[in-house]
Amino acid sequence: MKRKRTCSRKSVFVVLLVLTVPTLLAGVAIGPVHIPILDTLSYLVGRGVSIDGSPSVSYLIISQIRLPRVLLGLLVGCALAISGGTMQGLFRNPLASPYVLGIASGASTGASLVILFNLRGALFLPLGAFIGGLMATGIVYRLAQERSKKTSVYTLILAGVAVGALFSAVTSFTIFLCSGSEKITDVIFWTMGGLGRANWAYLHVLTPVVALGSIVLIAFSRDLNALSMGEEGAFHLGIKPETSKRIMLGVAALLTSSAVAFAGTIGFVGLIIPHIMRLIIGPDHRFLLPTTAIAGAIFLIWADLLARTVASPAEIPVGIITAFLGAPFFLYLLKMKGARM
Amino acid sequence: MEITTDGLKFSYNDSPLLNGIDLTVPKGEILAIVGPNGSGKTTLLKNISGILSPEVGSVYLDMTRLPELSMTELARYLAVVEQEREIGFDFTVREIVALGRLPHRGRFARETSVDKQWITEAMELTNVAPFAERSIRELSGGEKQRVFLAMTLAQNPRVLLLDEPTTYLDINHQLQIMEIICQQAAAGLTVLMAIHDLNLAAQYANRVAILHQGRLLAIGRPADVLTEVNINQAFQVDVAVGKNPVTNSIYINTVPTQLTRPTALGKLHIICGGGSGAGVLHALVDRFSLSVGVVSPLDSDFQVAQYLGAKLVTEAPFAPISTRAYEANLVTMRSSDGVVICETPFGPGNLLNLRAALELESKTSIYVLNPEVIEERDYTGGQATKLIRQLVSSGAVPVNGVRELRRRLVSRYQNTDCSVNRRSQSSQERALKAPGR
Repeated sequence: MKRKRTCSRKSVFVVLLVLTVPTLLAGVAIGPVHIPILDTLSYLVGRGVSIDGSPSVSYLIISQIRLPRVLLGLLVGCALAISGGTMQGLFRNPLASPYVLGIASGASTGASLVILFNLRGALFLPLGAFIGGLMATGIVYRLAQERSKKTSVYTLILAGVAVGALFSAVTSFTIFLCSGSEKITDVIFWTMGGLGRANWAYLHVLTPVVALGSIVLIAFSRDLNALSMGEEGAFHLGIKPETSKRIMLGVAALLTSSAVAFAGTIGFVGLIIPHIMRLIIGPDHRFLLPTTAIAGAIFLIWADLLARTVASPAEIPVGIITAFLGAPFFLYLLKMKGARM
Repeated sequence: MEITTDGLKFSYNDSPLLNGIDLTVPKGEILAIVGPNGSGKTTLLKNISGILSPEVGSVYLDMTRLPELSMTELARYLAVVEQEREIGFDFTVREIVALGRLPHRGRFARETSVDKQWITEAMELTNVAPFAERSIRELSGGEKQRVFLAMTLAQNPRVLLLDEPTTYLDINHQLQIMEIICQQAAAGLTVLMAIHDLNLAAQYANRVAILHQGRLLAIGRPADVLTEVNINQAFQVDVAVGKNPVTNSIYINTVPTQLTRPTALGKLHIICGGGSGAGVLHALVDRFSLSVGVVSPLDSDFQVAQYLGAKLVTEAPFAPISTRAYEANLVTMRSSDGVVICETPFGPGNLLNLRAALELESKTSIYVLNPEVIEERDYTGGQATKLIRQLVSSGAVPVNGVRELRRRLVSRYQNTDCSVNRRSQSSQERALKAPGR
């Protein structure tokens, strides 16, 4: 039986890049407030100022709400998917996700503490979440480090589960302390994840992180390929397994923590998207990681579009949409492919 | 490229695994490391491949110490085939083989036409090209191991280390792998392999080293190293080393432990030849002290008898039985407690074995296997048939098959106190040492 690749790698790239354009447009053009598509386009190229010199409401909706939100979706989707693909490659396990090192729990704890202590200011919440996420990862990594300074992926996974549970307990306790006040809604909404808080300040921080991080991960994709031969196998191919592993884990954790800091813990993007792309173009990480990044961005933008339109004017947390789309698809893949993923 | 180690020592959790290993593998040589489980074979390979660093001593590739090579240089010079690898994802065969080019390429460089050529050649050499686009995880163990070998060949190393590359493979795939390795060694690749199968080692390696308790017990040509004494010391088993008639390399047979049981019920002489005696010999060897004659050394029964430690009366190949052999045979028969005549084809050459039986005084201790079908294997124009019939009519016991033979012999001699029951120790020793020298 010949292994079937439905499409060549190049055509997958082209299709994904082409899809990005209408995705971005749709994300900006569609929303609870109807704005004609032509107006949207003209706003995007900077002509949104009305005759008296003040910006129109539609222009403000596009430039201050929808565009940052779509771009945040792009960055977060990109970061989560590429981190997920990297983690799956590192752990040689298709069930790994960007949250495997306890980042989600750590970030939730950080965010909930910020809310509990009433720290106001645009960047406090992301900062708290970011620190929490990285702290969890750091503890997990330390725990998994052996005397010989090597880290075993199995210990990493187990430590990730344990540390995750610990941080979840702290978060639950914080929620318990918040009960009775409005803060509890904030915490719960934060943990469900969403792109609703998007603004340009966030984008200024996140864009360079995601861009640089993705480039580093793509540069290490060949190490990831070599590591699929096992760590000793990679060593014999001229790769320093410990160094590569540390860099990739670090960058993936950084990307994930940053994404979570601004968008909360959005599930399934980092698990499902690398999977789907692996089925389409195969496990070669040199192609898998870049396509996964683009596909993650597209997926999250559409999921967010659904989140804010299906129950409009109310908004569903996007994590619910990704789970609704992702979980059944994941089960389908499991059923179809079984252990062969 | 030459591999040299000087006084390698390595211990794990304070228990020494390697205790001063000095060896040199010249360019183009295949050195096989054998030794019991836990003797340190894998540890030695890992010290040489750079995965582990020796506590004392160094490893050299040509004249360069291993730590002085960069990771990339090391990967260009030295490749490793492990016993078994589990690949996490559905990589295609070609993708795996292409990994071998990683050390020859920069981080961002794409596959060049040179890379492609190496990959294609490696896949053709190992005969994995037909399933280049299949997933590695769909392949059988033998196919997988060939793919990993192809990957290391695409790596174009000067030195190849193999850690029991054939352990989980069937005999056909074992040979395929070894043949490829031999070809590469002939082209200048230096090969060091740990291997369990002593016979594969003997057949394919230029030299063999026995690793025992972290030291080299012996190193040298297979025939000099794989001796009964060395193997017994390293593995605590009794073996008989013979020569493989097909490949002319030595081969090692284990000797069943029951052979060393001292009490035999009695001495039996077996008249056989042409393979007719093998089954009988095996069926009786655990309870009786056996002798065989007259047979020629080219006869398969001769070899079986030899391995089973039977006393042999022999004659030169293709020669009729001489008076000397006839007399010797008769003496052996007379000193036996019983004689078994197997379903041997009789011709002019061995007819004298039947005449000798006829000379025996007590015909009732002669057992004849299936005498009623003697005509079918009589190539003497009826003389053999006549002799067999004569034997049976004068009291020889006809038996129907080997199982019945064994049953009757055991029940007969269990109750008699035979005078000379002691199995001759010297015949056994001779058999263990005779061949391959």
